[in-house]
Amino acid sequence: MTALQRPKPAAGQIANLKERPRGESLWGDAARRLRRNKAAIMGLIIIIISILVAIFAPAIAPYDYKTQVRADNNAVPYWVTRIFPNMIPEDEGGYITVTDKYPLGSDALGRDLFSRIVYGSRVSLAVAFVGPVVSIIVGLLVGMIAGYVGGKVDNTLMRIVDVMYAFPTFLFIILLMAFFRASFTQVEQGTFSYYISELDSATGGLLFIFVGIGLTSWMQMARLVRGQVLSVREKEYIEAARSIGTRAPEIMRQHILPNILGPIIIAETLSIPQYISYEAFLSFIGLGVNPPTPSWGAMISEGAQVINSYPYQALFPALALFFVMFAFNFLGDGLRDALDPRMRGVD
Amino acid sequence: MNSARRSLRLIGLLMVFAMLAVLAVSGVGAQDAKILVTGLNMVGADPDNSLDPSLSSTVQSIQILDELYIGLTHLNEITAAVEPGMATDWTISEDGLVYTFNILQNVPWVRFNAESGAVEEVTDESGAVRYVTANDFIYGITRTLDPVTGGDYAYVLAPYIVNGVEFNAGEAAAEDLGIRAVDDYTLEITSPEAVGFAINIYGLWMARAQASWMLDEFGDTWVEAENRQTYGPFAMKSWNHDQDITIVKNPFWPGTEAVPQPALDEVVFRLLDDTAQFAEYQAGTMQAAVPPSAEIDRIKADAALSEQYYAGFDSCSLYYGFNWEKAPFDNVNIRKAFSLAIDRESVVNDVTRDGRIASRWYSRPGITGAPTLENNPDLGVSFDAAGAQAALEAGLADLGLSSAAELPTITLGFGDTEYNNLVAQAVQQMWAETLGIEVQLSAMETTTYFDVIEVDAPQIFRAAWCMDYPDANNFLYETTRSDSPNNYTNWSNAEFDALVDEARVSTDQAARAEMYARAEEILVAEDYALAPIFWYVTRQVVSPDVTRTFSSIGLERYEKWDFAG
Repeated sequence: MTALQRPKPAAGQIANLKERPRGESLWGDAARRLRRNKAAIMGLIIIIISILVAIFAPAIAPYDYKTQVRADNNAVPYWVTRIFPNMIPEDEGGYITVTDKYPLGSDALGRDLFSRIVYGSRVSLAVAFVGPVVSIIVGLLVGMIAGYVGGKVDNTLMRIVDVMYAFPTFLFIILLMAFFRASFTQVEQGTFSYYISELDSATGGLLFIFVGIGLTSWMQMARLVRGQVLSVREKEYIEAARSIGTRAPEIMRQHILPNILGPIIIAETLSIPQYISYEAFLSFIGLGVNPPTPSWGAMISEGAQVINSYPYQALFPALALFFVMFAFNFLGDGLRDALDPRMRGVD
Repeated sequence: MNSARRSLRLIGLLMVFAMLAVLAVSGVGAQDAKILVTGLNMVGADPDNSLDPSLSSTVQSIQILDELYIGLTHLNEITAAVEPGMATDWTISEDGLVYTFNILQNVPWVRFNAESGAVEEVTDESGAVRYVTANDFIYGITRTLDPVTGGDYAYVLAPYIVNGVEFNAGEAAAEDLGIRAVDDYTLEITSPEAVGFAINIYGLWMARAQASWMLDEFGDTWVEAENRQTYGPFAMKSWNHDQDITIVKNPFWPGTEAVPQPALDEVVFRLLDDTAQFAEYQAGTMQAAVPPSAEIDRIKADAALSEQYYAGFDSCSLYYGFNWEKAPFDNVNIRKAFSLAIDRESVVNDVTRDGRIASRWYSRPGITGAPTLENNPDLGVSFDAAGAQAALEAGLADLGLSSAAELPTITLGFGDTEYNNLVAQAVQQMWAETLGIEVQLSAMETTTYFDVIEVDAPQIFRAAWCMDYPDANNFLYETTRSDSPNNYTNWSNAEFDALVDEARVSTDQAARAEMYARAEEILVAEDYALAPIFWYVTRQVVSPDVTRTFSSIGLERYEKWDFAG
């Protein structure tokens, strides 16, 4: 895998090597195999599109996410009434206001549903990126130190992880969010908690979601990293590095990290849908983003209340959530196949 | 065992089967019981979860209590007039202070016996049936007023019984209360002041008969269905906490003109929110339900559902209160700006869409003494964008700020229901559009929310009040006077207090109406202590198989309901 392992070519073989196509690196090989995986590429395309949508939301969305035209509440374009047979337009004796102003209809307060879905992608994707970043930073640090140093340090850190692991994640995150929401409202001006709650309000309630997900997601990563470190710690190249006097941080960064990156990337990509669903779930039960910040989970929750009269209000954000979660799942699966060392060279 | 005996047994068994078959065919079996299943939205209701007449304070609890216990006087659900309840008649002394009630005789205390499956009379140690007497009323009233009980509604009852306020404050003994039993069936209550609506108050749930021996025997567990003793038209059959409450016909209730014997055998209250109730109703598992307001458009457009839908008078009034102790709402102009910026017409027409009335003041028109919309075309507040912006400018100048951005973060708190959330988001947007101020919404778990606003309300908080008895005093004296425990705004105004004090004891209805109108003006349009939003209507869907009365008091009288045919 590294230069140390590769056998030195014999002199007579040099000419031979030049004739063959250049050898591929691990990453090149993985990328090639990923490209052949249609589902993964499809997922990647959907993810890229949704990232673009999130970045250029103001240009894509026809309306602002919080603009209410209250007189246009629950109005839909005609084609939506054709999908749901019980949504009979007003002029056919029903109760549905038909208008072409809103591509996917409007919600109970006359806000454009499409614009809210577009802006809602920002929340989901922010969680999809911040979740892994937090969990990698904390998990990598804890896992590497535990795995490399070993002994008492390892024992202590891993017992902490065990204790944290013992809590059901959902319950833990609900408790955390309820605690944040209760203890950071109504605080005295000028105190530390005041600035924290100001920051949370400024991010539309996302800060606490990040903290909540961060606090509950690093344990798995720490365990994984520790296991990987243990398996490479005793390898010859690490011994060699140690023997020439390389310092521990250097060894971890230069020699261990590159060799355990594959499984970490796979694990994180596969857990992104989990982070997205945490956010959606928290918003669904009212512990997530603050209104009027649109989040798919919150929109599904609002829509679910009126699912009999206005089914489209839950369906469209649910579809958006569905596509993005599937995209991350397929990409994660594809990456796992591509980065699996046993699959190297196999087409 | 000889064969003759065996054949005798066989004959006996056969006879039993035959009898069962006859019973089943003639329909005397349990299948024919008239059981009405309805819903009760208990979200945030009755945090103490006790259904205790001395403690309860929410409409949901009172609905159940009104079927289990009958007051001295009874509120007619259609006319809101006072009718005889447990008192067959009463006399009021000439100075209007002494009320003498003649109590209905031979009304036994009853309990539901789960083993026999029937309601049975309660007997004392000697085996004699216990009947409701004047002493039970005295016990109930004393227990409510006892400071040890800590009843939420003691303060409503206390001023209308001599020494009631003092006893409730721990400064007088129970023996000093102006209440005595002339004999077993004659009760005399003395009020310190002559007040017209006191007769209503003596009939409320916190002034009902309670069974002293039952409390002694069961302690805190007397509230459970297996222990509870009642005397009203229904008895409690079962209470699965947070799930359902079943009340069963009390065959020993004698039936009066105002409170007849129930036609229904049982009423089941399933504790569900509106959305779940309506789903059950549509599935046919419930015969009466409250539909969510978001579904009203569809209900009205549907041929069958529109026939089953009923929207009627409701006494509740919704407001957003301002906490005077929290900046910037200690400033009148800021409060004015926030109140004027709310487009109440848009809230009722575009958001709730179920026939609610945009309110211009607090007390509900239609109840005695409250200002009416016809007589007071200019009273109160309504949406005025320019006025709101001018008030904001003035407020900022008062505070020495150059722009609204320098105001501290403003939070609107409310109990977390989908519906509160919707109204709050609409109003949040109105404030953003008119004043350019982004208000933070803080949705709290409903039970917690009520605890929070009692102690330390957010800068702006959502609250609603529904009448206990049909008089403006119930709104303006009991919830907004400076010393009221329901005044969460920390507001006080001497002129307002003087007005509601005077109107309380006045007997001249025209003068009272004027005083209340003036008090409202101070409350909502001079001091801007709170911003009224809307007056409610009831929403109900009831199966066409049910015959019923249409209540205007926010409480149903299930003893008058029946199944058609």
